[in-house]
Amino acid sequence: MRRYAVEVGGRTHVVDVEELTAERFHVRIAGHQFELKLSRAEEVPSAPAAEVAQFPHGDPRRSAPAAVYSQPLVAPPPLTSAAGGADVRAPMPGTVIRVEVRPGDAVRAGQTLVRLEAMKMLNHVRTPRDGVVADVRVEAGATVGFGDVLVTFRPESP
Amino acid sequence: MSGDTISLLLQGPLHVSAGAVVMMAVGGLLIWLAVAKDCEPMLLLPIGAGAVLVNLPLSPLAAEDGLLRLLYRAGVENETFPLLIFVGIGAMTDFGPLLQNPRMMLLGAAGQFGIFGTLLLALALGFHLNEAASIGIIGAIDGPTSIYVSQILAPHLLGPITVAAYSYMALVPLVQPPVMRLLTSKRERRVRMPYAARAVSRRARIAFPVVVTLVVGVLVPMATPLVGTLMLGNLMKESGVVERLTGASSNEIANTVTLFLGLAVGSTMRADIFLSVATLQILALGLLAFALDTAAGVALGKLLCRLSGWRFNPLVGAAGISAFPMAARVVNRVGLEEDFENFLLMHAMGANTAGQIASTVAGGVVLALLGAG
Repeated sequence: MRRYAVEVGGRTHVVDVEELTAERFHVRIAGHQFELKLSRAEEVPSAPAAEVAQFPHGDPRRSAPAAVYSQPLVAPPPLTSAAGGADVRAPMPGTVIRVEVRPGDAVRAGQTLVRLEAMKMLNHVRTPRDGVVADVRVEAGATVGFGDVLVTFRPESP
Repeated sequence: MSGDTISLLLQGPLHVSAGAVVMMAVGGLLIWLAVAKDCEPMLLLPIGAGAVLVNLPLSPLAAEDGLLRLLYRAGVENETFPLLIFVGIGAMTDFGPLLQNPRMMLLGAAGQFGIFGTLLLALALGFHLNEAASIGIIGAIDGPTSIYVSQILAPHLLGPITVAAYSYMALVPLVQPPVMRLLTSKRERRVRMPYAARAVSRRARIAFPVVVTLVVGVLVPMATPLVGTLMLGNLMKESGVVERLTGASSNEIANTVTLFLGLAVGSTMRADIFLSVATLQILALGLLAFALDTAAGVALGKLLCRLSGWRFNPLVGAAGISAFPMAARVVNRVGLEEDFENFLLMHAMGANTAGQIASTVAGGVVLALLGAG
């Protein structure tokens, strides 16, 4: 177990990280426990001095880490699904064929959000949970990379 | 009008044989599969047409200087057509997923197991060694390699072997999933494999076809024609400097040769050769070879799953055959049935392209074992 002090936007948070394997970590932030899986690591040219924790999917450079960090500290969303927190991300590189939802739409777990063509095969990217769409970040015809945010959700409503 | 004149005019109907009618029906069946069922139409339609045209009574097309014989001698007898097809396949194939994950090469090797299993069984059924090896090659689920190998080892079986290879390629989505489900547990099918976005440099992409050609060419000389043409096409694609040649290979040349190859292969389906017990045995053995490949791939996948601590989905093993990209899509689909967030497509594509390379090597190994060439 290692304890890190992470400063985000002027506030300091204590993060406890327990290394289970080379890629799996138990992380405790403000009393909330997560299991993190490191799916890739790469050199970032202008990396901060501290070690960079990564989220199960995607590249923190693309995913606005401040937002990801600051929200969970108040009300951490369950990190149980592959889609991570409140965003649904591209599971692989491809081209967006059709967007099936609009901001404000209420969706149920399993519902298709985006149709993504990868390797000439049409795939349905579905939401792992119920929620209300906050923002759609892509449009038909867009080329997306692995981990790019496709759709974001509104914070859990009571 | 004399009796002679009438019999001259009735030459056609008088020469219709029962066998030819059956073969025309088989040709019609292939055309129907292509038109109505969308089963490999690019191949089954010309093959079916060739089968009908060659079995029409007194067909001048089948005569020594007829179009069908001409195409057969020009490109099948000397194995030119399948090799030209391979240039086109190489020009269309992206080996990126394999280069990102080179261990997939293992699965490509496992996917060839059915070749050797079927070879042994065919021997037991009384086929000669050369014939048995050609039948086993159906297990590569690789049309051009099947044509190439059987033309060298057992040209008289070319028709049924090709028809089996291409029909089973069309049946990948039907044959593989039951085998995959039978051999895996729900837990195994649900193993998550996040896509590892590792960048592959242009230098690696260009070096890959060159290195594979040199290594395979030295180790398995009999595989040089198959691997060399496949990798030539890929080198043209990845280099990016000969886009017109890449385009011609993957479109105009591949399409033209596919038509010629299909007609020529269809023309080998003459009643006197095709209508035999051997054909039925070949069809049955080919299906078995295909199922064995799938099983061997999944078995190795299960081993990798255990060795990696449940971080490798065994379904991906089923993509280690040559049928591209159908096998990879089937793996992706079966994985999504269990867990709609688990996209195995990119991993399966890696195994699938490995299977393409491995089947050409396997073809060369079989030829070398039998001392051909």
